[in-house]
Order: sequence, then structure tokens, then C-alpha cells
Amino acid sequence: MDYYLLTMCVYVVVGIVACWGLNLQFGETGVLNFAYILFVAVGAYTASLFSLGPHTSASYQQYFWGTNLPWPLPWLAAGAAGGILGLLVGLLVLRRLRGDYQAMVLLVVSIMGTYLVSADPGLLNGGIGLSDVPAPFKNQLHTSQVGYELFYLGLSVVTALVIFEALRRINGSPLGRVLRAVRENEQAAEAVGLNVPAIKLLVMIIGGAVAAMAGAIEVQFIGAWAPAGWTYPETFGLFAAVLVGGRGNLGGVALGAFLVQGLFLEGTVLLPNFGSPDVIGAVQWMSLAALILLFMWFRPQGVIPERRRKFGDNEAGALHGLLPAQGLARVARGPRA
Amino acid sequence: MPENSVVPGQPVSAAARPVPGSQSGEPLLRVEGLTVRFGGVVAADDVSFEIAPGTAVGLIGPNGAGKSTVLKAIGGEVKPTSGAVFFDGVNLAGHPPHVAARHGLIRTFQLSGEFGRLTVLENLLIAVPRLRGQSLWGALAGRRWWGAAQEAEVRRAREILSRLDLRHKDNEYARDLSGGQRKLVEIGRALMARPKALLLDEPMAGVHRSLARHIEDALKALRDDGLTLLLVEHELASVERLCDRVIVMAQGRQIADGEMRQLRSREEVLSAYLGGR
Repeated sequence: MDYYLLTMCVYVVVGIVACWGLNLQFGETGVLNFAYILFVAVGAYTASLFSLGPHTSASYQQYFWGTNLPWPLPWLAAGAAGGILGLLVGLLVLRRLRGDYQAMVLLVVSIMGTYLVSADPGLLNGGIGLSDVPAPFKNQLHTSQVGYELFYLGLSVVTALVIFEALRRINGSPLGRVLRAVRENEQAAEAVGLNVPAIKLLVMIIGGAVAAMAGAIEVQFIGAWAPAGWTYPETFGLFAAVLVGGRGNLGGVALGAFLVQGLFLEGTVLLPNFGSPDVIGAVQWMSLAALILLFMWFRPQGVIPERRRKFGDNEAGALHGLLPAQGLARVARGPRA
Repeated sequence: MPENSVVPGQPVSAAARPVPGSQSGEPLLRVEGLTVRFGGVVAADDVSFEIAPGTAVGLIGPNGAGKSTVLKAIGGEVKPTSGAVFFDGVNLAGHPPHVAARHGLIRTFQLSGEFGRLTVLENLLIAVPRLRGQSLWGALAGRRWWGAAQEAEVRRAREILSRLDLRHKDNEYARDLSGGQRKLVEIGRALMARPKALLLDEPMAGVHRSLARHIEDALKALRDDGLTLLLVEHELASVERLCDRVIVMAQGRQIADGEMRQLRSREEVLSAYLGGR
């Protein structure tokens, strides 16, 4: 297979995994996490630190700490770091603020993160970023570059499938229904006994862990990670994918990630050069913004909408008399009364 | 308690109704000196009353009287500035709404309170307390862990929907129902939580007359089954038919408490409603 095509496939898998995590937060629960790319970055940096080895004075790059652990430990550590960050950011943002203010604070947190890492070279090599991040099993597998890329794609797909299965179970379970209830009406969800801040905190943790896994997959593939790659507009690229594909639908979101992260963003790169060198980048972001607007106006449910959960017909509850409301409280109390 | 108030339990024929799990004579809900201030505005001023188990009490008054504020403060949506809300012996004042709900005090909303892009049946299932599969580990364990428990609740939800004449709508999105049907969904959802009492904020407001009557019948049936109701409602004829007792509020203060027919001739009640008559 073509080297470029394989690279694109890995990027698409990374995009799909990242979008699934965002879908859990935004698509299913309605949490506008405008700091989402920060979680991807934390995963990438954590996987780097857990595979680069200890920092020495002879190193050409600086980082505050490092070790060299075999796969899958760097990816698992990344997931844990994303979950912990989700917990911390969630505790900071979710408990006291309303939804729209939460989104604003999260955006600010994302910008702060980029500036913090860029400003201190001793932390994660500043604006230059980390490079030469080892790829898992590359030294053990004596294969061609294309062969290794094929192997890495397989590793990524297997990891993505494990994440998919976990998210599919959540999505189809009573917990998934609870998340969608929070998305639809937080006030009503509280009124029937759901602890909304705790539920949102849970999806910040899980979604953060999934985002971080995406970052870990990406960094060990490309071998480098720098702040320029995770500025806040990147979050909107992921939001666009979720909106286009169909929020709340894992298959739709995967399609959205393929269309937006794969075809759309890469497609604009293939445009012929015109004007100044920055024009193509500007066209890319403007096209993305136009795509979001078009879908919000004409197809807000996305290409593959969230499916309606229908329950099979069961006549067990169909018995009722001429006075339908009578005995309502007895039914309501049910078998546990 | 205001002068001339009716002692809770006295005029209430429903006190004799069998109420599972309640101790006779003890109020289920006791509001003591409830005050809610928003900046300089006193929305509720030293409101106190008791509600016996199995009774239906109406909270009435002109617009801006503070009725909904009192209801929200009892349900936990608004934090009272001072006062206490004892429900089944527990002071819920200042606790968030989900704590009140977990104690069996469920609120419905004046405006749309449904989960729009959930089906009617899903709307009801949401309220089931501690349903298997609602935790992360339960969800990850898969359908084999929570499927049977959910199936039992689906059957119960369908029974409730049947009795609310909504059985045929069970797989429709709640947002596609009429306003009155949404109110019924809210009532059904509240019942799924196995409540001890319902706080109903204008359950018949903006609803077609025939459906309003249907809602009223459903609430009557609940009252007759021994469920405690506190409702804010402007439709006084419905309140009279439904409630054992009414509390009248005006300008944040509780001005009367008693049976509707006794209160009809009270000067302060007429004045509050008709503006200085």
C-alpha cells in the first residue's frame, strides 16, 4: 500500500477516536468542551514522556521527566493522564458555572495550556516541542517503512475497536440514556434525581481519557509533538466532524471524522497554490467554518442522525380499564413498594 | 402559621386514606419560615405550612405572589435565604434538586420539562432510581447485567403510560407530543421515581381544556391512591376539585390557608386576586 495512504489511514483512526471522546461529552451529554484538544495534547505528551527515556544533560531537547516503558504502557499512562486532567478541569469548571460559561472557561483553559507549555522550555521543550518519540516495536520488527506503517495501523485499529466497544456499551445502556437526558434538559434531569455535575464530571474523565489515547496513538506514529499542533482552533475541527457525522451516533461520528479530518482538511491541502503561502491554511479554516454553518442551518442532525431507541412491543403494560388514571400510584410504586 | 389557618390534617378527608409507609399525624412536608431574597427583592417572606401525607394542597395567588419560588425552594432549585424544609423528617433546605428527588420529592415544571429527543418511554425510564446500568461499570458490563432489570421497568412504564392514555406514543420523541401530552409525560416520569410527594408547577397551564381535565383526573387518581401533592395552579376550579386545602400567597407572603370554600369570602384573598377590592 501507498505510504501516504497508510499515513492518512492512521490520521483518520486518530481523528475517529478523538471524535468519539468528544461525542461522549458534546454529542451525548451536551458538554461544550472547548478545551478538548488540550486533552489530546496531554495524551501525546504523556506517551512521549513514558517512551522517550530519562532526560540527560546531553539531550538536545528538554523535558521535566521521562522514562522508557514498553507499549501499551505509554498509551495507558496517556489515558490515565487525560482522565485525571478531565477530573481536575471538571472540578474547576463544572460545579459552579452554567453551560455557556463552562464553554468560555474551557476555551480559556485551552489557550492557557498552549501558552504555558510554549513559555517554559524546561517543561516540554517549549514551542519547539518534543521529537524523536520512539515508535512501539519498531526496533524489534525488521520490516520496511510501509510494513511498519501497516503494523501501526493495525495496532491503532485494534485500540480504536476496544474504545469503540466501551463507548458503544455506554451509548446503548441506561447510562447513555442518562447522558442524553442531561443534554436535553439539565434542570429536569436534576429534578428526577440525577446528579448532573457528577455525570458531567464522569464524561469529562472518560472523554478526556479517550482524547488522550488519540494523542498517544498520533505521537508515537509521527514521533513529534509541539504546541503549534494543538492550538484551540483544532478543537473546532473535531466539533465540525461530530456535527457533520451526526452527534450521538458513533458510526456517524466516525464518518464525520473521515469526511472532515480525512477528506475535507486534507483535500484543501491538495489545492493548487495561489496567493501568499498562508492562503491555503486560511482557506482550510474558512471552509471548515462554512461547513459547520451549512450543517447547523440545513442538517443539524448530521449525515447519520442519532438513532431513536425504540423498545419492542410488549403487551405486558397494555391492560387498562375504562378509568385509565385509576390505580396510577399503585402502579407507580411498582414491585418494590 | 398565619391566623385562621387550618390545622393540617383537620379538614382533609384524605388523611384517612391509606398511605403506605407514613406515620399517621406526622406531616410529610413541613416548611418553616421559608424566605427567599433575590438581591433587594423578597420573593418569599417567612412562609410556613405543613402537609400531611396523602393530601393535595394548592398554592394559589396572583402573578408574582411567590408561589413558584416557594415550590422551587422546596424542590431545591432555589436556595432559601433562611428557613427550613423538612421532608419526611429530613431538612432539605439548600440541597440541590437531585437530593430532594432521591428522598422522594419530585417536581414537575411550568414550562416544558421533558427530554425532547428521548422517546416517551425513555423519559419515564430516566426517573427510575438506581437502575442497573446507570453506573459506568454497570454500563460496561453490558446488557446481560442490566437487561432484565430494565425490562421490568419498561413493563411498569408501559402500565403508567397506558393509564395516562399515552401507551400508543411510547416510542415517539417527547418533543413531538402536544403541550398537554408532555405534561402527562412529566407526571408519568415523576411516578417512575416512586415518589412520596409531587410538586406540580401549573400542571394544566397552556393545555387544551379536554386534556387539562385528563391531567386533573390523573392527579385525582394519584391523590386517591395516597400520594401527597403540592401544586401551583391558576385554574381555581381545578384547584377546588383537586385540593383538600389551599394556601394563598400575595407579594411573597402567605395570606391565608384553608379549604377553598372557606377562603372564597375572605377579604384579603379577594383583595389579593382582584387588586384592592
